[in-house]
Amino acid sequence: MTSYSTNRRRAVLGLLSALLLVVAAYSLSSGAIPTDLWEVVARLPAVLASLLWPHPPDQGAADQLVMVLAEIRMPRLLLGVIAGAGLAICGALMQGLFRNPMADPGLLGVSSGAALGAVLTIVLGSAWSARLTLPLTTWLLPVTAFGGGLVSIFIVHRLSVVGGKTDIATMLLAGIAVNAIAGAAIGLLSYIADDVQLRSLIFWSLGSLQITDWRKLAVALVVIVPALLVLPRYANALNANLLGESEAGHLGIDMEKVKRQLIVVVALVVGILVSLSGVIGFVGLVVPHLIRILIGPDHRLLLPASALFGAALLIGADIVSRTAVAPAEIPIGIITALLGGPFFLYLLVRFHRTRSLR
Amino acid sequence: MLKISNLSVRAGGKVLLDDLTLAFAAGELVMVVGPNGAGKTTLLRCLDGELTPAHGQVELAGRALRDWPRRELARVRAVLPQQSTLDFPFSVRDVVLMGRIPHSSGDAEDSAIATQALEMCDCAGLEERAYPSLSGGEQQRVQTARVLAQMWGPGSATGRFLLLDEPASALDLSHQYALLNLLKNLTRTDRIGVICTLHNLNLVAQFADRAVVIDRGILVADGAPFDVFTEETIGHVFDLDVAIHPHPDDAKVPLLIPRLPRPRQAPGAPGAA
Repeated sequence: MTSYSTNRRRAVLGLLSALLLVVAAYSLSSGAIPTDLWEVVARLPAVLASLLWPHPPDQGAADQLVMVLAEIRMPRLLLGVIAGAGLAICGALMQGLFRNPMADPGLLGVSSGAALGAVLTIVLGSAWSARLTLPLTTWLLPVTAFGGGLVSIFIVHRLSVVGGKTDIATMLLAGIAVNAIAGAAIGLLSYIADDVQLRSLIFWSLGSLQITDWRKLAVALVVIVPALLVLPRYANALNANLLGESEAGHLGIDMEKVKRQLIVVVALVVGILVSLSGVIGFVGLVVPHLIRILIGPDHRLLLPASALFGAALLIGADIVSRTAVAPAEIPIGIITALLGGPFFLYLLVRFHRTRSLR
Repeated sequence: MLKISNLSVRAGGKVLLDDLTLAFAAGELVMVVGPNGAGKTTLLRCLDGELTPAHGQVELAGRALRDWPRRELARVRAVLPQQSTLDFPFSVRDVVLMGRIPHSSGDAEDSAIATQALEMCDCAGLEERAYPSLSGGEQQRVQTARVLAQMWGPGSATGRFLLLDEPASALDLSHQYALLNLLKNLTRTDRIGVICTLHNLNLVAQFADRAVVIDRGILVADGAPFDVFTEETIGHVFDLDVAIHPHPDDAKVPLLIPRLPRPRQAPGAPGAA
């Protein structure tokens, strides 16, 4: 089914890809060492080589910019890409699943549930078992964050979808409740946390794209990139689901199965992202909304377009977070909340006034 | 052949359907009538597999409905529910194209099918409109076009079936007749079995091959409208005094006319107190 011509689809995705490339290039060339874009481009082969062969045999003094790019800017950029794309596509998925444009991993408590899972591991892991030293907990984090996110989305979905219909008030209130519970639990854990742990707790509540460990990033890439590539397959099911759950069934779609799979995928993507970058709110709300206003609600275009735009937006926000008060950094979660909070209010006002969902 | 045998449905201690046995053939236009709460929608929801009956069987082409792979089923059977809520601003054309999801006929063919289905439901001018901006009647026609698009195709050995719950509830008179003509044509030219609930008994009398009358979950009558619609049956089931005359254009079509209240029978008439 399509009334968007293939040409329009190509044009939209092409434009958004170009936007992402421009923002990514700008991100790579901005930082503590001011860099010319062409210098960056010229060093990309060397950066790639240094990543593939971490300890080059006698190459003399390594280029400082190559080091900066390979160790700091590149991993940060990649995390920004998968976090922005992942959060935006998860927002679009949840909105389709809940048949409601106010759904968002942050608002509905999936992110804070994941953060609680991660914080529990950090604070209680070492107390529970001496063998759970910090290196080991780093590998446990994505797993427990996934668990926390899964429990949250399951609770909110169970409460707010009754008889195939989503009650918007119940959904948002359930999200508030889950956020409050997770927030309180994290707060409680902060009393028994030591100094190092406390620092990572703050990190989780505000979000940051700072990452220097390529191995952690690799785990995220291995899980999230395939998820991003597979998710557009659910576009038809989500479109049909907007007609109604039973209508989707009559169109040959097993919505129960689709729902189960999507809930797990959303929890997985959000869980892994939270374990790496903390809670970054509102991306999943704002991005699919803007895309829907531009190109309509068809998930076949909405999902890939949201992923591209989400990546571009988050990298843009990261550039602001790094450069606005350099050399200090504003946590990126603060920037996305500053953008997304007023946007959310605007949506509520408009929803109240027109009862139209868009 | 779409068959139900010994179908019973209970909910909350109430009997919704009681031991119904019916068979529907491809190419037949069957209309289910009965008063509010008689079990018409429950019957349709058993036929579409949405509801699992407490007792009894639903079979399509000799195979229990729940044993059908969903997608395969969606290619031979479409369902138009009583009301659909779609709040997202899909274009009318996109809504109709959703009917093609179970098929893999390719964009070009799907697009041609959508255009024809929209024309048949008198929606050709609405194509690019946002669905939520349409009136209730227009939305109902677009949804009808969607299930038409779903049924589009060369047909199948098992026979195709279209289930519609109150498809005319929001339509004006001329669109009601257009819809019924369309459904009749589908049964004749495409050999689709149409099962439809309807409240306007004169429409049923004029168009249905068979009228199935149910009341409080029980099958009261099943047959050609001419045989089924008697003053006694209608009076009993609907608690309404009607006169039934042959239609002036075709004596085989019964015409139902509710009687005017007679002053001497009217409760609370002057002089009764």
